[in-house]
Amino acid sequence: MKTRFVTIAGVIVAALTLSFLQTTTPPYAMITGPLKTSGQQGEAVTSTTFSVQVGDVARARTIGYNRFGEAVALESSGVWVVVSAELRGFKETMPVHGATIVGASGRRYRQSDRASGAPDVLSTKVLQPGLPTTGIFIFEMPEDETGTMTLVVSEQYEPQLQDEISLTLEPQDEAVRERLDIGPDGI
Amino acid sequence: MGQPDRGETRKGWRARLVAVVGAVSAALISLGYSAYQQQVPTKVPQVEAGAPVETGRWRVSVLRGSAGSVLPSGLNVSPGKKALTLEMTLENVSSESSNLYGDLIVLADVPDAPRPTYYLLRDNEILWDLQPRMPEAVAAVWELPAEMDVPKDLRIIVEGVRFKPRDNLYAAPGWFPAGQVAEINLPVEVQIGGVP
Amino acid sequence: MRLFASGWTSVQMAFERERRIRWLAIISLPVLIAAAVGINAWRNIGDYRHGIEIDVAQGASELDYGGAAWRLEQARLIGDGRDTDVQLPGEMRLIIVRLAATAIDDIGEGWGECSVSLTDEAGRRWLPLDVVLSDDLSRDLDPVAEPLDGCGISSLDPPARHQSTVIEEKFVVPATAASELLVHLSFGALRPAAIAFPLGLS
Repeated sequence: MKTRFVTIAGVIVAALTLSFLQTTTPPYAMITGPLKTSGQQGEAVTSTTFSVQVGDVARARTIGYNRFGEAVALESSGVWVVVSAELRGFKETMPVHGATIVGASGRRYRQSDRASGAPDVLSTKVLQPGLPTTGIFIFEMPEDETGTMTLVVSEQYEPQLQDEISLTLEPQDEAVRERLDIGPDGI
Repeated sequence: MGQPDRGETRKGWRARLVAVVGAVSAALISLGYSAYQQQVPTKVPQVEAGAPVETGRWRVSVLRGSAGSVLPSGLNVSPGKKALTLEMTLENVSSESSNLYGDLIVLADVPDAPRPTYYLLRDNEILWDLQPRMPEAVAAVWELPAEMDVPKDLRIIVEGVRFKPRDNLYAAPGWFPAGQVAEINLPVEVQIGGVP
Repeated sequence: MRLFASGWTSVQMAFERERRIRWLAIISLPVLIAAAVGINAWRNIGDYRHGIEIDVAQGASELDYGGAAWRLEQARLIGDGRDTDVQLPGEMRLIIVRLAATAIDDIGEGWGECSVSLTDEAGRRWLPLDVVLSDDLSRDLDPVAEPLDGCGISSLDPPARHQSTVIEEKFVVPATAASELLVHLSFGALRPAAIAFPLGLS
């Protein structure tokens, strides 16, 4: 009788321990998540592998640029957000493909593929160690999402155990422009 | 080898009975569940063309269908093909930019249909990411063999997806198929010059 | 009574046997888990070693590697106006490296997953420009000559035994690092072994 009681108690304790371990296991996305660094617009925010310094942020209803000698004008139901930045790589030649703005609602807006043909876009460039690289990121989002914005930059989207830099952008007090032209050297 | 005593025989018999009852009930439950799932497709709600359908990640209103030879980009379809085009309003209702709308719409009457190409009608170019909370007019284009008969009244299935904060394998967040959420019957206009 | 006793013994034997198997299963579980983790780790370490260069041979003007004898054929520094008139902005410099190989053995697919890179004393690493950009630059610098293939393309069609080939790769580096650069060459199957030559640029 006593051994049976011990057995049952043992099974219950084991079940409780296992369910405790199961519920407290950190999710996979967290274990293999990015190595985060954060800062503000204007300062150079540095991780082990690269750094980001945001210059200007501009908002416009339409962006225009030349592509293969042809004028392109892109309209949006929301606004275009164009961010100029200087990037530096420290260790090894690397691209910077991942750029996302977390908007006021917390939704994540990746840089726009519609505008990927614009000149001076950073996602088409490669960082060489020791050489600063300047350029722009272009985003498209509803206007009310631009109230508070955080720019998140990484080598690739959804970095796993790789650097990710977050920069809080300053509040936008300028009105949204009707049109913003992007030249060969950005904005 | 001798005979086991009666107590042990009874115990063995009882264990076997429990095992059999367990196995049979497991089989019955699994059979009942799959029978129930077989029932589900017949219950897919019928939706009018133009009415919004919630699929979990997307909100889609299929507006009209047409068959022709010109793609939304203005180019002609490849020789020997024709373009079946569905115009729709598509909104990303998830929390991040996404281009995973390829499995959203299934042509029920076209077996082995290729994957559609989506165009953003604002630019008349291929659609990549759709940004959250920014509904856009888009067109899904299936390039089908020119000789294939496309039904005048097209039956479309809208597939749903469900977000799981922790999947069963890695406890990682992700979107998973959630079955058919709507069926739409849509007349297909045949366009001589193609699709405008 | 006899019947009862022998029955009891056989039941007890079966019970003992089952208990032994159960214990064996419990004890072997940690061993098997440890073995699975170990084998997985071993494979990962193997994969990782095929991605890095830690056993770098250097010091000679000609080095045997991947079935061929390698030497640095040419290293050019472009952008400060000395080699050609081209002036590149700021610290930016273009480096063109040519490596010559004479096959000693049948190479076959031994040059697969080829990697050429430049390193400096601080351990920074520059990777080559992509093929399209590299060819465009070659044509800008010399509109007549056919651009030389890089390592990736040459690895698909390596020279036959006793034949030679020259590969060319281009890099963008800061001027301050130019004087201390080494060019590294390695192939997937041979890593972490690699070879390196100092560029000797001033």
